[in-house]
Amino acid sequence: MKLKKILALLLALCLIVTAAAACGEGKKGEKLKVATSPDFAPMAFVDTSKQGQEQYVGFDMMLARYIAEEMGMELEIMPMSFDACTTAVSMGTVDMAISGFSWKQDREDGFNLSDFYYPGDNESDQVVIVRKEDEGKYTSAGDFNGVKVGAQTSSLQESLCQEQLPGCEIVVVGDLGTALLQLKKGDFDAMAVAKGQADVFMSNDPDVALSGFQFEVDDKYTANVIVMKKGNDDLTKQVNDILKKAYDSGVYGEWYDEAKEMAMSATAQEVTIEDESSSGEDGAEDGSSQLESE
Amino acid sequence: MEQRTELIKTVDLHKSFGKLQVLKGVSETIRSGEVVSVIGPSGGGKSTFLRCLNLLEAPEQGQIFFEGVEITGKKVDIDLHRQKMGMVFQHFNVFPHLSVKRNITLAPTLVKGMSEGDADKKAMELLERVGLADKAEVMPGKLSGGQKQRLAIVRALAMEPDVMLFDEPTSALDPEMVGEVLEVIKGLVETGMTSVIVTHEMGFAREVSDRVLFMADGVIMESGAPEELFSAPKNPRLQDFLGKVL
Amino acid sequence: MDLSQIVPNIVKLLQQYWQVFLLEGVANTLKLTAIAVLFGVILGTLVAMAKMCRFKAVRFMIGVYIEVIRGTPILLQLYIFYFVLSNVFSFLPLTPFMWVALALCINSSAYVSEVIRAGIQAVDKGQTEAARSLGLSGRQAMTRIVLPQAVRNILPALGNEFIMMLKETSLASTFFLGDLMTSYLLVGGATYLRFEALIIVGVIYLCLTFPLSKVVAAFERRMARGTAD
Repeated sequence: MKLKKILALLLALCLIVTAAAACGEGKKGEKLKVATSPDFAPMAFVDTSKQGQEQYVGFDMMLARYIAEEMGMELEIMPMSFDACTTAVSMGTVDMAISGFSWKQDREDGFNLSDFYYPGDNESDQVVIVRKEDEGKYTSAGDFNGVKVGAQTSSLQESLCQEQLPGCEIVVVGDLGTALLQLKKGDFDAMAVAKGQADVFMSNDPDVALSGFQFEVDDKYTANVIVMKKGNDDLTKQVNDILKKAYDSGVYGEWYDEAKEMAMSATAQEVTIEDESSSGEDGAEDGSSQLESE
Repeated sequence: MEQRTELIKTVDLHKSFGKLQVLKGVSETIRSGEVVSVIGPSGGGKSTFLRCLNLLEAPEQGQIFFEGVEITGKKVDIDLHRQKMGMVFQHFNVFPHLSVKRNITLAPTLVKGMSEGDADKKAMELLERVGLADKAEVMPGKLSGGQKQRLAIVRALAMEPDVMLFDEPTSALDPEMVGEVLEVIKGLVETGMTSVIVTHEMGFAREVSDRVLFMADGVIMESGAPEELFSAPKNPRLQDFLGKVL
Repeated sequence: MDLSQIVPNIVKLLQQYWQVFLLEGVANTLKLTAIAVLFGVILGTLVAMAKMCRFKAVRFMIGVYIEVIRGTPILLQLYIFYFVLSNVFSFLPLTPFMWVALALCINSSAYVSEVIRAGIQAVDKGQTEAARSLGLSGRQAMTRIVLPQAVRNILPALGNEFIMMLKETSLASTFFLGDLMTSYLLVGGATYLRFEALIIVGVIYLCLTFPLSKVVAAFERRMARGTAD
């Protein structure tokens, strides 16, 4: 009698637990939450003319939409600073972070990382940019002996400088926009960046140019990974399958060109401002009157 | 002055601030209609004794009876008794955010439920009495020290108290203003108001008091009529004190 | 560094993104600040009252609350609210904006409570004594005598808290909540004209805080004069 009761109770408990688990999964199944730091064109940035989820654009965002679609889920981008992205993954606030993460050992230790994905051809090229007057001045690693080279802190570029430009003096910088100003100001004479980045810089700023030197890099450094919670192997496998499908279908290059074009047009619009649509023109007029009144 | 019922009686009051024992057993009786001055060196416990009488300081030990009720008892509504004990402070403590008149009418209207009209009328009478009628609508910040203290006195009187407690009422005043305040107190005392006055003004104490208490080291060392006490002090501490201040 | 490019670039950014800076950035910054200070004042008043209550255990707990909030960086508090508390209390229908606003309210409440407590305690003890000696109850003495005088100390300090909070809402940009600093990140991140975007945002912050601090200063003077006459 007693045994029966206990068995019944256990069974009931099992049912409740499974139901609860199913509920939890079902709830999560509706939305795929992705953390990103949308201040990093052309990977992830905001098209300020759009609203809501639509406004997040760039290569990583196209990838995120692709993954959500493949998984049959609704995508929810949660914007936050780059540092907060990984915190959000560990805390379970989001399912994954897609924000131009490169592969790093400590990242591999702390998280489940996806297979590599390739944001276009240019991204795998890592270059050194200089002020316009120094264009083409540095062609070999030896040319950088004693030269100050800026690189983002704990970035791929910093590692590359350490490995391939042993004679240079590395100046660690924070965000790239500021670093660009530092380069122009003369805080350092060269700066290691991804080629795609360099292209955006050069399209906006006639004062920077390529140094003539290019790093030799392999996949581990150039490609990006998606960051997921440690131990979330099912999701990781699912994502890897989707990445493989994307790679095989050859959409990466297409996405990347599109993202880069959007990023470049973000600053080059003053040319087109005259012949914009009516609503845009209103905005521009208001903008300039605003300016005059200041 | 023969209706000598006991108005305030203290029994063996003790009070300390931290380790410092300020009152070491004070037993004293103030009778109705009596004017009692308390003199003595600074730190002798005069002000603390006075502040214990309306429980602004709570004694640690001992009892205080006011009009026959033990106000140190547990279930006593002290607010009720304080209404009948007016107090005047060294630093006036007029309410700076209220007009002179409102300083006076606040407590009667709020605590006693007096109507605004009656309170206003009474306030004007009182202000007239101390020569401040023309300042009724002024903010207290515009008054001199002597005027502030006169205001503080009538503010207390507006509650029609049975006893007035004065805590060094002229100590914070410029010398030229001491006289005007003493005049007001003197006038009040002459109406028969029971008063306990802590003061350093020996001449004044001698002139107005029925009885003078000499306090030092937390106890009342000598008490008596002013003539005796000032002319023929018995206690050596009092002799020493008078030798210094007179 | 080529300074000649900066002004044209700023003009360019303003023409293209003025709505992002002014309509979204300024509006959200003011919204966050107003919410934080308003609820911070309400909550802070309660906290200040609890801090002055007669129960030692309550005073101790409130003391811990105030010390923890004032002793930790506001960014850390935002992380705790955004990641930890929103997870623990996931059944609450709060948006990220609300979680951050809540964190700012809590943060503000700790500072405001100390402002209120200090304002009350700065009122001369003699005022309470005089009121009590006239037979006013403790509550009457507080509401009729102490608080009206404390307000003169408190209001200008609250004005300063508003200005402080206006700047601290910039931390909401950690989660891209649309405040002014977020406008900088968005525009700077899309155009790589970060320095120019920074200047624009800086000027806007100044345009907000400078008049406010003037108002607070004028208010302080009026309050001081009010006590004098």
